[in-house]
Amino acid sequence: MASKFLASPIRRFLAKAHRPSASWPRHLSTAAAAAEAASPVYEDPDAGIVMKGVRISGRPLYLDMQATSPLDPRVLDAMLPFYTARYGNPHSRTHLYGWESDLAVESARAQVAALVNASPKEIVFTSGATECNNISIKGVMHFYRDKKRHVITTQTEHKCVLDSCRHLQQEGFDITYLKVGSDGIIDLEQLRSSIRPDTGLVSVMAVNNEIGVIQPMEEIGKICKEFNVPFHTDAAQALGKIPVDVDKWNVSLMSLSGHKVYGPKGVGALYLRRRPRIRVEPQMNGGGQERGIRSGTVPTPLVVGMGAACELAMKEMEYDHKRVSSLQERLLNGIKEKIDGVVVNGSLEKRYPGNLNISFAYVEGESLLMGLKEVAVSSGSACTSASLEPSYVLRALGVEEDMAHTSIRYGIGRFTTEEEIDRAVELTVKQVEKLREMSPLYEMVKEGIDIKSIQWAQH
Amino acid sequence: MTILPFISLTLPRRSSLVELGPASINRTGPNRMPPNKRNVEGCCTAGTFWKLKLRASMASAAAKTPTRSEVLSLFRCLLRTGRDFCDYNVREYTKRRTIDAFRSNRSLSDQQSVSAAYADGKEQLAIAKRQAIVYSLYSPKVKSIMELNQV
Repeated sequence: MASKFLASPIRRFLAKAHRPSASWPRHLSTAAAAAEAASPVYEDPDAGIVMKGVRISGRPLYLDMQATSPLDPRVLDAMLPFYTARYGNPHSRTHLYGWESDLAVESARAQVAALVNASPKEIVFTSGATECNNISIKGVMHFYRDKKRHVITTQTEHKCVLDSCRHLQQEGFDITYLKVGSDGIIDLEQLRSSIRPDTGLVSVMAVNNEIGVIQPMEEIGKICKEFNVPFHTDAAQALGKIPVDVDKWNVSLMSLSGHKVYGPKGVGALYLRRRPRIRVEPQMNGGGQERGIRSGTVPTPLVVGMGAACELAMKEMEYDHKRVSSLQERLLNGIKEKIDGVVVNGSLEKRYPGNLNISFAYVEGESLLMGLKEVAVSSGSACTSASLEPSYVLRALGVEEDMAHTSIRYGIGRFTTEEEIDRAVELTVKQVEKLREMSPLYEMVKEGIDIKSIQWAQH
Repeated sequence: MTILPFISLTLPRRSSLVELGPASINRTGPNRMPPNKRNVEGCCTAGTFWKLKLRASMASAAAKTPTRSEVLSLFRCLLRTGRDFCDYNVREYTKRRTIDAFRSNRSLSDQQSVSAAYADGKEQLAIAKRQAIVYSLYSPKVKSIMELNQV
């Protein structure tokens, strides 16, 4: 028993002895100006992290689950044997290394298929949901290019879908971008009326990555079945979070991503319906692996990781969903209790609870994000946060420019704790109050002046 | 880490041991190690686990159901292993998930599901032990903000 009490101070002492020597910080400080480009991150157990001119005392708490999710330790455990001893190519038919890798790939395929209620023969492994979306949209339309020239999609799709559609538009296809309501859900009547005899594909994502709203998949599936149009959905954010059933939704193609379900990055899966068969033109040509649809060696460790992640998701979906819903309520109520002028972007009822996109009125977005450096959140999606313009998804929702700029997306996941939520609430409220105190617009609002009626003077 | 039961107190403990002989008097279950061979810390090492498995296979068929003390010991081992993780989120998750899983399976009474759950728990314990080591090998030098401010 006594050894336990001695163990931790001893460990700490040993850790201190192994720390980098005291001369290292001095080298950086004297050469800081020149070396900043060469060594952008500096970590020290005492002083915290300095990166890009920002100093934080420790690693931020992670609330950006829509960008990517941490790898579940059980998934890593399933993957490691295939990085160490079982490194064979699954397409080698002549030796044990190939046979065991092939077995692993096939069992992973079955695990992924089980989560979406499909047959393993309908799953094709790719490098991620972006590649799946490319294969679906460009592949399907190129295959049926003689008869079908029209694609229907929404304005809030992921950038890769919109970019593929733009590419098709340059080739001469017609694309209809459906408008969404202010709650983020598409109008089914508008969808029905846009379907033409030469419509080759309808592409609607199941759960939006920025605002988290869930589209009415079953109804869209029914409409597509009625008109016999293939239905593609990007289910990267939906997999493992809400029940996904390819038969109930009547989807012909579905894009799945590994790193959104606590799996590894760099792997995804494409579901291709066999009855009725949907044909695609392959985007990656080669040796004919994956039924000719995606040639290239199947990365065994990544695929095994995705399979393990999907199996875990199936077991834990109910537990995670309950927990994430209660955490979302805690976050939203915590923020709303302390500050006003908080708007949730997107429908609150038809939404995946782990994605909360909030706009704070009378606050400037970039400064809010810079003040929230101890919380890893994002404003807009990871794809668009590099540019300064507000996200196109929020613009499609009809959110005004100033509110769109101050939107923050909180992503809650399996590993988020109550204490992290409380800390995030505390930090957000503090930062918003600080910014609002400085804001003259907020002063005017408190006095009762209507912002929209102000005539701004021209200089 | 999903299906592990709390065995109810009405499960027979000593009654099934009478036929095993006088050496079993000091034990509380057919698979329990004699005190002097038990690991002082109480945590199951790999060696203990394999010895337990051997004894389990040698004991009578009725003993396949884990006893209450075995289940409790597994619970404690899982919690203790979870504490060794360097990553704040994984540590909290392991603790929370173990408690919730055991709590939700408290009412399992069917022998087969109980043994299946126990076996699953043992597997999860092995995974947790391995991953605790792997995570500690690659842990970042700076800790998470949540840990720093707690200290």
